[in-house]
Amino acid sequence: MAWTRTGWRSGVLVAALSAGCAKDDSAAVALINVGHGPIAPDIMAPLGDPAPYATAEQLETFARGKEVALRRFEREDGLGPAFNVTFCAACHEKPVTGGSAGMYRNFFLAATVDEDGAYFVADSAGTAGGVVRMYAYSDDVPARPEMDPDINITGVRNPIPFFGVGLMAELDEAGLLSHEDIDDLDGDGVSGRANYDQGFVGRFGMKSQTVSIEGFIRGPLFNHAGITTDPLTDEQKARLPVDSSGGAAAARSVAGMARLIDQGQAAAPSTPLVDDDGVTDPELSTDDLFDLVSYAMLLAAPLVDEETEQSRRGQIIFDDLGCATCHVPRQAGPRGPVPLYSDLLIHDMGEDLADGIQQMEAEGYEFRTQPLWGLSAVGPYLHDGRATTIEDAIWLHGGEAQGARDRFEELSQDEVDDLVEFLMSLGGRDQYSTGLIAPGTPVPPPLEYGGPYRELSADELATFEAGRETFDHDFGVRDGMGNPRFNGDSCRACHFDPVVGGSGPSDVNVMRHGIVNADGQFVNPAVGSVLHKSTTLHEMLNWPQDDANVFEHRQTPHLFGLGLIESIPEETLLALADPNDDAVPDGISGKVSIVDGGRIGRFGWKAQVPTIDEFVRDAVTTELGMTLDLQPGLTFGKVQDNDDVADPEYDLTRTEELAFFLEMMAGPPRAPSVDAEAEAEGEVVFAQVGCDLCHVPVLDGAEGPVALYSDLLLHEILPADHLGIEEASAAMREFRTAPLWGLSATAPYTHTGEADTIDQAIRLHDGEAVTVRAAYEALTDAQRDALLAFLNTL
Amino acid sequence: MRTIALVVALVACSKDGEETAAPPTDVVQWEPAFDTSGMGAMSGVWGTGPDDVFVVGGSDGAGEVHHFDGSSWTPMTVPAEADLVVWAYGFAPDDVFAVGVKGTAMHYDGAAWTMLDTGTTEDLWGVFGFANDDVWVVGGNWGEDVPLMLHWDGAAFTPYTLDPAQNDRGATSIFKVWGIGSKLFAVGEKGLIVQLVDGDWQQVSGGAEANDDFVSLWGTSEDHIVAVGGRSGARIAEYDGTSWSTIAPSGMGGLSAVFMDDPTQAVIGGIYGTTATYFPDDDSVVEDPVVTDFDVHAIWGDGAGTYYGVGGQFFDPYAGVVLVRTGGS
Repeated sequence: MAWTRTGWRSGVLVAALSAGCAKDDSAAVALINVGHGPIAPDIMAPLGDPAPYATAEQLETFARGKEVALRRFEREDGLGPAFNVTFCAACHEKPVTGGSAGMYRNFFLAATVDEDGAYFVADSAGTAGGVVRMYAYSDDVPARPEMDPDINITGVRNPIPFFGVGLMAELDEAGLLSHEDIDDLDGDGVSGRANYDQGFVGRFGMKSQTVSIEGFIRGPLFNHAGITTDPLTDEQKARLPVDSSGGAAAARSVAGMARLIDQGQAAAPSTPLVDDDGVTDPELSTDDLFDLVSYAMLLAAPLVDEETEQSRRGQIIFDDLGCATCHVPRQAGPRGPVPLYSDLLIHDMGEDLADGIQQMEAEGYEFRTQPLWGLSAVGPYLHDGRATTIEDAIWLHGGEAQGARDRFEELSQDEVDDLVEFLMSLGGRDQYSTGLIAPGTPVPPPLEYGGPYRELSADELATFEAGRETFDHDFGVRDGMGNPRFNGDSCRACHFDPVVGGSGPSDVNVMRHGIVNADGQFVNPAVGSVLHKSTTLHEMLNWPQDDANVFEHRQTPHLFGLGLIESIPEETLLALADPNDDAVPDGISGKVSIVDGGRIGRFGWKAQVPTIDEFVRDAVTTELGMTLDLQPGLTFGKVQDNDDVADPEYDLTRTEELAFFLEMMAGPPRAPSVDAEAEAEGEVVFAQVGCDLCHVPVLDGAEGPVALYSDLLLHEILPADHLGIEEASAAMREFRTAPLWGLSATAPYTHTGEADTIDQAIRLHDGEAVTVRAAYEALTDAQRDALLAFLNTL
Repeated sequence: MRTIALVVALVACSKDGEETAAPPTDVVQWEPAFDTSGMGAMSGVWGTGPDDVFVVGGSDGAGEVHHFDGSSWTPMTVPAEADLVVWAYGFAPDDVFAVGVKGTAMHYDGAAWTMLDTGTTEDLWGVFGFANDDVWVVGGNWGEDVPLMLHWDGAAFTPYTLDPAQNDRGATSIFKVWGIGSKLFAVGEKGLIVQLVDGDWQQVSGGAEANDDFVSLWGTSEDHIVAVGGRSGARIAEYDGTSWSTIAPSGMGGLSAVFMDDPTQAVIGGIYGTTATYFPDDDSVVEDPVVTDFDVHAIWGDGAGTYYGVGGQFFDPYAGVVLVRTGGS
């Protein structure tokens, strides 16, 4: 049976096969069909599913924990004051909740190395474990928190998937340490050493810097969302799916032999976290934390594919290249072999990947061997997502992995294909999507959220669907995305509430900045007013220009019904305008936005974009950092940049399909009535208060009435002393009347996203709207409730 | 570097110098000194000898002091204003200072504890003096503003503020102060080490590994001082009379406690009940069996071969432990 080049591993397979399983044990049959040997029963499932071994009670906890992972934290819940995300699943969504995320969820780590060579993690609006927080809602902290100018080390991290972490937690330390070869005594050029957290072998994080799942959740909750927690109680720890009770003392005091530690789950951070945002700590209850930790612990190991001839060939190549030296196929867990494909040790990954970030005992060039299970659906790859494909990731291996990478370079294309096929077989392939829309997801019916505004022909539907795919598509470095800066790696990155094409939470806000000089004049920074959130440069934080002194959030508005808005004649807008408040002297003016080329702007918070075509071009270049084809008559967007990817990076077909998708998307459907009487009364109040002076309920478009609740004009709606951003013809305090359609499903509100509720948004109106706001505040509770009930139907 | 060696064969000497056989087995053992059920977290321990040991601690808003007279432990009455007490140091059984959170400072005169006016509500983490009219108190609210140092001249506290040149790491807290002979050091957040020179505090380098909090320090002479710290990973710094150097022992969790009565070894303690002996000569560490999950916050020896370790949980529900070490002498 000469079917292998690596005999001893064949033996494993033979042994596994000969061990045999009953034919009706389908799970077990699947397990032994993997060349690297048997896998523990009942641990694998599709990505995001609970482990099959979970009990009924644990499944209930799993469901509750998933809800916590999806819960959007608002300011009154304790979000911030500085933050990167507003919910856990923001960074763990790909291809399903619990997974990884595209590069738009990358975040920075920062540190300072002083003259003694001592390494200190940087603060970011307070202590955050070196995490750089990109947003703040605070009177004391700028919208983009300031960073210490002495920072001289920065790194980027792409979110890490949580699949199978409970199984990783169960691995005993002795097993992990058995793979150490600190001094490379076997002379294979690969060493590997453990990282330690509080004296226990770390296993979670890009540098295995964390030992406990509880710690791996509490830390990011605080560092990225500003959500405080107390540690789980001993009783709760005992009930976790991976028993974390008993404590370190019990684990380390076996028969008088110190340091015999089975696992360090008990070694979660033992202190409460506190902040000063005015919300009582802990901001997440220990019950919720228990559910969240349980959920993570119960996420199944990715279900591997049945072995095929090609994947078997690829597995042999994998072994021959030496990949398995670090990507250890199986770890011995208490349930049996765990197909982790990682030793969980840290290795020198070479100069090109080194970023100087130290975590626990890991140096800046050392990274954990990333588990390969589920690989096919959790890209991009490597610690900062710089590898768009699996092949890219292999090419970028260096340091201890240089030998394997060099051998990879010598493979034929067929062998490369076999290897990639094997890697793709390690789970998640069926759930792979180019973005987040699950494979096979149909286009919503007409007039529903995300569907077209009319029936489409077959060709139109195909184009619409292609446009939706483009909208959802995660682009990578190899596509030219983000060179050098970006806010999102897809359109969906910011537009996904309540469905693709919608609005975005405040954690995908765009940050605008500028300089208001001594004369009170607004000056654009050299890079423009957009202060990007991320970069592909790896070594900088997108610092604002030194003299920038104005920072302003831009919440992501939804894109439903853009085509209908575009169909509203310019004459309609001109007729509504009252720039000097003399046509109707009511304290409310309203002016048409005039943009590049004398065109009338109607899209964007400042009506700074005239058409959908220009909107697409602007977004592709400004938000994704990609270049486009020239399109006659269009002036937005860049046609070339200075990266290594050929221009245009975003081809014309994609551009046109995307524009079609946006043009055809329906306006938001009205929400089902909850209390028709109150809603009807609220509609009356809406007019009585004067909301409709700017939020004009209906404008006529080419396809009929468009119930957008906006005049699309610019109004001054901020206090007289507010300093903000000027853009196109909009002054610092001027904004386009935000369309209200879709209101109930597209929180948060206002241009900053700081209003979590409609009531809060109304109360933030100022400037021209101050009288209307006062009228709102003067309403009786019943009237106000009626108005809000009406608005919630939009 | 991690060294595992638990069973120590001892060779003891009789008073007349004649070697005698050590006890058959002399394994380092820590065990509870007394039942601390219902008490708060235990944070500091100090005494004048085997029959005069003070353990301090408490819970939010309530300080505690427990005294050992050589035969039994007794809770002492402390002023109602005393918040959680963190540290104690004294000069005689009737001359003991203790400090704690929210500006708590008090003095024991042999009969009663009385509050001292510190003029601050900031947390105070450490106290040490060369004499009862030359006492330094250190602290500062962790994560806020700048560290706090107070000098007691026998009558009143005088604040001392480190300027940025004395604290270029931006530490917000100093955790302990200790000295001997002509040397007086204070250590704190972000690896800060400052030394009192000619009446002024000067920042001194601890080396590249001095990049995490130092929590405590002790020594036996001007050239044998050890500071410990680290949060997730241990830091041990040694002063040789001229300069500090710091190591980060691999695989060891953060440390909080250190006591020395022998220049060749330091008894240390830290997170998750860690207790160990550090040997400066070769930078080795011998860890003890762990008997508690509480962080060991302070260790002190009575000069007669008995060591006390105290620790606890410093948040609700507050709880603590007082350990006594036997064996391993």
